Amino acid sequence: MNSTTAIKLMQESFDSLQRSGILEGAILVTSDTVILGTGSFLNSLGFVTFISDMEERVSAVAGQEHYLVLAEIHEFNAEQAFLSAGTLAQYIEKITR
Amino acid sequence: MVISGSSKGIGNGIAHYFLARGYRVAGCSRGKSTIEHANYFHSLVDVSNEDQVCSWVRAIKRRFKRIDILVCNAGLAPANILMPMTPGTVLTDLLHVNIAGSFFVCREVSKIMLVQRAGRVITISSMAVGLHEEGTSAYSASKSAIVEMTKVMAKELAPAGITCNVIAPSMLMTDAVNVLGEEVIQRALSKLTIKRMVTIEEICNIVSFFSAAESSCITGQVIHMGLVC
Repeated sequence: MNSTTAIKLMQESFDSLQRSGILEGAILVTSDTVILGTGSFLNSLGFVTFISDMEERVSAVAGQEHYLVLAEIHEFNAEQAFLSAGTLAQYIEKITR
Repeated sequence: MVISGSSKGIGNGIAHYFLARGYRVAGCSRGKSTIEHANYFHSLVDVSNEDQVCSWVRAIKRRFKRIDILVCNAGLAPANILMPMTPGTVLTDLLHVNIAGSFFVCREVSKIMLVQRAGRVITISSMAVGLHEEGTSAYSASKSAIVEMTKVMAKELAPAGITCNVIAPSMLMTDAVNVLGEEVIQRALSKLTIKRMVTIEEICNIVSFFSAAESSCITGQVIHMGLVC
């Protein structure tokens, strides 16, 4: 799965979160969209829901089980938690390769 | 309904009870299924194995599309032994199965419930916790951990419409209890406020209560059966 498809799945997930009331407004997902950290539209529970939803979407498209493990993302620093859509997309591309 | 540890004991009784009432039940155990029912789906899972739990819960999601109720029941109940004589392996087995196993199952199921924005999580503790029963230091510690885990989980998941509660049953006549012998059983019963065994129907009644739509504001609670805490 390439990064563009991963971003598309994130857009679908964000749209789904908006429909369920977790997100207040519609969000256009780009590589720069902040998923976690300052500037993110998601609270902590929303972030967990997003990751869980993305695991399902990625697994469904890839045709096999995939888990999104933040600790495996090279650029992710748990001490200064920050994650952009672009970084997550690259990680998804890597694990589904 | 998802039940971990459904091949015998309380989990098996809960599975039969709810299957008889039209529920679809997905259960697991380390051994083969002891339940034959059209609405029952069994998997071989060691709940202390994180990968196995992840795969199991995903398989349930694929098959049933959603999970409405989790009864997180799988656990070890070793024979009572005073703390100075308790082997380290007993403690580590309890940590792996009762605490880590419950954690993995609750974590994976809660992810699905988060996405569906609804769910009921019911964990199983023990009367040993309320009684501070001699000979159960490791076991009671593991069952206390389940209570604390459930309460924290209840606070975390409440905004998503998920409730998390605990049942602390007193004695139910299961194979594990039967091997304790009459003397041990009578001594344990004598410590209870209501000095008798509970029935599986009484336990299932609490599962039904926690699962009911009308119980949506009840979370982080522990129901102790047969004793005052």
